[in-house]
Amino acid sequence: MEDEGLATALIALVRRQAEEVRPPRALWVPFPLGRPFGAAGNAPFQRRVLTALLDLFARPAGPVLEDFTDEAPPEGESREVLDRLVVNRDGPLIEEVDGLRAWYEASVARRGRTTLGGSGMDAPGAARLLTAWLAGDAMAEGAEIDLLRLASEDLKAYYMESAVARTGATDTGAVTAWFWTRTAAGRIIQDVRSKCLSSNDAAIRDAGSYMFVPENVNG
Amino acid sequence: MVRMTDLNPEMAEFLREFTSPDVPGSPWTEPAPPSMRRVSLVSSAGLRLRGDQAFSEGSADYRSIPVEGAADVVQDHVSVSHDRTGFQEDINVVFPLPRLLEIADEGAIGSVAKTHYSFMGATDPLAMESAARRLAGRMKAEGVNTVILAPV
Repeated sequence: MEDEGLATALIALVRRQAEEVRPPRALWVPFPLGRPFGAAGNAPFQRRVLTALLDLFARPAGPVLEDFTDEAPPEGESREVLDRLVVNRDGPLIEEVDGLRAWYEASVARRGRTTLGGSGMDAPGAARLLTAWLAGDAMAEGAEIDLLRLASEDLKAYYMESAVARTGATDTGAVTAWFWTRTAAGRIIQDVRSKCLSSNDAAIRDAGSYMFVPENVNG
Repeated sequence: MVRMTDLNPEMAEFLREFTSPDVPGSPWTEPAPPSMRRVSLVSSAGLRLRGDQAFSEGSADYRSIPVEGAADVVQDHVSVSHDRTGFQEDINVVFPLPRLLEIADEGAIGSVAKTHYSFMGATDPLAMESAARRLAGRMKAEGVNTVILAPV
């Protein structure tokens, strides 16, 4: 794009890659993958990151690689409040999904948006697809891996958005741990991963490795 | 991070062994003065409007996100190493269009483009060159002269 006559500035999450590729202007940030502008619900902090990035356009020559060294501020407490959610890791997934519906709807009303929808299914639809695929249902067996991963992400979004609406929890680590260790959805997605890893299809095995369950959850 | 010590071991190893593409030359475009900057955001999170065609893994093309539809986007890029909770809570964590509009209202930049864009994450960057050059032409035709690149 720079070569085409546009002035560009890049957020760099992985510093070494920016050092190697040498883009014209890059700002390394110390945030987790998936969070290039740092902290949710913190407009002043997000503006600081964006302003630091825009400031790179004032540099007279490049390549420019600067560091934004401030860690993202913590977003809140939550471990205890997550206990308010009624989930059952060993119970039927579809009942658990139904039980969270009111909180999911409250979340959509509050935020005015939802990140669920990549698969084109609602949460019960995603739950049914994953469950049927695990059970070896012929139709679900033919589901493309893209659809399985998007259904999995939609289910995660439904739970996490519901959890935040119910409890006010915004501590990423706590909500993520709650999902993987306390919910039937977390169990089912881990089962999907296991089934992928035992597939004869290398592409499905790769998907099982990289697209469903964080490494630290696999244990 | 992204500090290697914060990553799960598998992703840390992947990133350590990852060979960055060889990008020849050092392109440099003189930025427009701040008051003349018209800015567009480009993400690699696989963002798209809810009803738009989904990205597949390895897709090298892009999706357009007009300002008026940007509050209702979904994210197709999936990785177990990416934390999505921030995006779920606040789109600005990944795609800070509301923040950019505020900054423009205050006069720090000239204007914000009417349309913004996303590519798919984890696609080979060299495979995206053709689409990126096409997109650059489109942005210039729309009066954009400044681009914020926001990987995820």
